[in-house]
Amino acid sequence: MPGRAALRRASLSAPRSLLDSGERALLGTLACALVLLPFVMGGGLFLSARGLLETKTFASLFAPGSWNPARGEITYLPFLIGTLWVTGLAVIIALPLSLAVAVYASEYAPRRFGAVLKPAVDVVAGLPSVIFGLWGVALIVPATGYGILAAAFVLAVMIMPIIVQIAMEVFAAVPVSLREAAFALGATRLEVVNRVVLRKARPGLVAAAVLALARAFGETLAVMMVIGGAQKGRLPVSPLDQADTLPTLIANRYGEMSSVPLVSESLLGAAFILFLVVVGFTLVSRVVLARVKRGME
Amino acid sequence: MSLRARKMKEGAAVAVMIGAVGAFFLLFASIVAAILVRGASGLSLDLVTKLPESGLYLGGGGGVLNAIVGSLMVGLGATALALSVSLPLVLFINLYLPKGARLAEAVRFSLDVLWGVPSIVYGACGVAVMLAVGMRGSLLAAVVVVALIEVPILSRACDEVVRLVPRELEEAVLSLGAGKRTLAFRVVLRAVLPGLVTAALLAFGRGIGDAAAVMLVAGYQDGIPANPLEPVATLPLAIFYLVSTPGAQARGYAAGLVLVLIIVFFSLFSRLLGKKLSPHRIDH
Repeated sequence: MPGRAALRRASLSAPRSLLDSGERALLGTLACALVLLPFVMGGGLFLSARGLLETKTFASLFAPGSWNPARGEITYLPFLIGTLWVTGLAVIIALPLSLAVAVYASEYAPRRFGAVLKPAVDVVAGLPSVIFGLWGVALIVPATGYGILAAAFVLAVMIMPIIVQIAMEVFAAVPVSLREAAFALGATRLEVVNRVVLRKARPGLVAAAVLALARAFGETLAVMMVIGGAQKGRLPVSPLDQADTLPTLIANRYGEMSSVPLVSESLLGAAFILFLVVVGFTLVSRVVLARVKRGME
Repeated sequence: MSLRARKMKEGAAVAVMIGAVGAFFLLFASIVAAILVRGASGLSLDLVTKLPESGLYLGGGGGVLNAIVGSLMVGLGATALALSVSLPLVLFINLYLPKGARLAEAVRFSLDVLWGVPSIVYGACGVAVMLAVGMRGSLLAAVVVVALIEVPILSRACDEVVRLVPRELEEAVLSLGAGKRTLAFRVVLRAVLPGLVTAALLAFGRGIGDAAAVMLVAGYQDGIPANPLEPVATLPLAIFYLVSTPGAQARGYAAGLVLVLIIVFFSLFSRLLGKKLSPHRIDH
């Protein structure tokens, strides 16, 4: 019997309602603080970076050029392009493979397979990013050299578990009756998958890809270990180029934040851009996913 | 299309998918293999029992005990702090608020957003605050920032578990005249304890493996911090520095193996703990 003594004690203490209301207020404040936290983070980063716009125009922050805050040369363009290369390639590599695995697991394989796959995927999803970086240095870099392609491979492996997990949830939300109807019309399993399951699941799969993209967008250490680093003032043009991303820019330069003028503003500005992009991606995909699951019930 | 052609297409698709599954497992096996094989060869007693000596990162002597202890401090400290925020929060939105309350939905949505925010952004926010108050990288800052990273993970996982507690249990407790606090902290908390352990482990794994935020706010030192305001080293960063140096790569892999072993140890430990706690579970 849990808490029998506590019940008696509680009922004997007279000012319980007073205590309860104080506790409610405290917990309510905590909950409100959490709701406000994203706004505080975004707003704080924006305010910290605002000084940048006093010396630079908004457009010049996204113009071609090189990075040298000490001389007032600040542009995010090379880093944005590096980030887009890396994350775009990672999703292109990860998506087909992950979808094939998810389709196989939820439409073809006996249930036992899922029982093996799920824990394995969970374990990999829980590995620290530095481990993926080590793997990249050990096995990918010898084949591709340091650069965008190596980073894309490492990121692809990091986001595969996420895509598989969400895709399997989305497939599970497609009503069985739809599949049964198609089977009853004489469709093969592949036809059911292509014309019913995948079609019905498409918004959810897009959301899964976007969520994975958001994850890849902010990844720092694993990318830093294999991407090499940008050549000064050059925009990356091929997957074999070395590059920098917004997160690696921050991680490489944070040491100069308190010593070199404008570095702290410009790096916090980079963090603000990351925040906006990732939160935007997350919001869109969460809303789509919630709607997909609700719509199919 | 003839039936035969359709069946052949079916067969081809299955072959492609099985190939994909094979590739998938092969990739993951190659991660485990790379860390195990390369790590085991560099592993030594010195690595886990000694502090770095001058020139460790250039291939010199010593070990990464500072980073192991630092990682445990940051990981355990942050998880404890995150738990003390997440637990009351989750119990509040599930038990104190009426079902479907606006505030509860807002909290869940905010947690979803925070879950997606990259670690480096948390780090940048931490640095912004530290610059504003003139604080240097420290164990305290690392614990707080990593706890913030863990809160969404932990809260969402706890939320899933608490939602599974049957209404009848709540109603029975309330009908006995107990208050919300008794319900939340004496009954529901006990019922969800095993699930909570799993959630805490998830958050701990994320916390001990975090590198980007820690890099920005923790500083780094070759000793073990004597007080929370001193800088602290962590394993992911030690691994990063070691692997970036040509002469020290083998030790980097070995430190990577140590990190994975720590995570495996805690996950086995928590599974045992979960089993041990489950007899006390209220059956439903």
